[in-house]
Amino acid sequence: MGSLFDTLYDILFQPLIAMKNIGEQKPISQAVIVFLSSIVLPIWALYFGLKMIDMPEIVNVVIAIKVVSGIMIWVMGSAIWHLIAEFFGGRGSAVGLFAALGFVYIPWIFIIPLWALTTLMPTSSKVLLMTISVLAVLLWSLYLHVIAIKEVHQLSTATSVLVMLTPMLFVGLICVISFIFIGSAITHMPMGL
Amino acid sequence: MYKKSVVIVIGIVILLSLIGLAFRGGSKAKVNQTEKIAIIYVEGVIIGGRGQSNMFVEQGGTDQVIKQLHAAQEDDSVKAVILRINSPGGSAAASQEVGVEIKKLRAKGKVVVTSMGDVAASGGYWLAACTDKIYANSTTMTGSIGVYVPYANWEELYKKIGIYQEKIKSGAHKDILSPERPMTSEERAIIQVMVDDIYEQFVAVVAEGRKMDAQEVRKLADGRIYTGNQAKQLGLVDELGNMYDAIDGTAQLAGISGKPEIKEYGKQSPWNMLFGANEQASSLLEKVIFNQARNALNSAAPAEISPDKWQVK
Repeated sequence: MGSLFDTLYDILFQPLIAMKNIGEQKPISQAVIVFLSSIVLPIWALYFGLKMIDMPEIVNVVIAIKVVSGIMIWVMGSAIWHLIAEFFGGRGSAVGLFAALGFVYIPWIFIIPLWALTTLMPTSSKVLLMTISVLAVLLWSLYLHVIAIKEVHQLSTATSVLVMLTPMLFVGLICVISFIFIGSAITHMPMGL
Repeated sequence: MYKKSVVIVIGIVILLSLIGLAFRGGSKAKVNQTEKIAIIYVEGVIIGGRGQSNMFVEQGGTDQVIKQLHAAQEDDSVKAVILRINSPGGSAAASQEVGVEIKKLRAKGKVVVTSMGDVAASGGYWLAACTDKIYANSTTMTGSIGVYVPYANWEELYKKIGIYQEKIKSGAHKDILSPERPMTSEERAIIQVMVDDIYEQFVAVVAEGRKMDAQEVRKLADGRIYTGNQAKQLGLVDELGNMYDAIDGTAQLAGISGKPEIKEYGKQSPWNMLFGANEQASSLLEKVIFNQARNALNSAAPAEISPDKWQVK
């Protein structure tokens, strides 16, 4: 494994090779540094960005959600995706996937220059541009998730997408079933006064 | 080496963006620092204490209003405060406590303006009288300058349902206002002196705040309510208008040029929405009826006649 600079360059410009190397060499310390930087630095942008569009009241909630969800998705996501990947025939290691998923948050750092650019735009288009930049970064990050699962577990792209989406589909399914049961219970509840 | 250089350049761009964002955000905050008008809501019955509270939020009760006034006083970015009053009154002590805090705020050089909603009567008017300027709608119910102590004699009812109470008193007047016996003339005189004392304090507050002669205030302060229109003619209100008129007027009074930034105190935060006691969920009328009934019970029935002390024979 090369230096952190080499890994970062590869993640940005040749993610397939980078994720394969990370999966094999499991650079946990580098992953932790990158993960923390990818979470902490954009929070600064988030703080000033939300203040700029006059939404300071949601700053604390958004920051709390971002930090907690980031850590939970990294740690728990690694375990869950590893299990699902093994079900789908994956052959990678859990530690390798954990290290690779530490690097998938790098795109969030680019929210800083993107939001800095939006400050130069007219006020009316600020919210739209900020939303577009968040969506772009989110898609990039999701793409890195798929690449990480694919390269670490040596699965096809389609299977990797399925592995990544399975927990979400499972949660969605539980919500739908719960909704059906709760709805059914409510409609059968005696409503007399 | 090439990879390292590219990553370093990207790092520098990100760092510069971060500094740029900090400056942009900071400069915006600085511009706004001296241009804010705070809005503080006084809603429902004015009653002392913390109101409803849970693990995350605390609302209702004058302690919260006092905290907000104090926060506005400490906040250098707040140049003026609008007190949005929608209250039929309440406890004299609680009104006085808030009134004192309003005066402290004004002493700090901040403009305080009242915007009356549906009702700003009695204790609500006490607070309004402590501010620099009063805005009311022409149909707002205001006035009701006066004091009363409620008293109910439930003696006959208690006899009918077989409730008897015995008291061991430390003094003759310890159970004054007890609902299970008639009030004596001596007790009536004691309460009347108290009512008169509070009334005179109320008149003094209105006279000082409205820059009126105390005798002139006494003529208006027979307890009656006035419409906003009548109140303006009598000098109890300065201007007729809604909250936005009050905001414009406050901005002028405070010398804020351009559109002022509004800072609402007691606004529903996401925590309030998720876990808070929702004051707005119940109507003002419900709150007034509930709190008045509670006040009447509290005043008329001292703690020593609480149900656990009753004897059913």
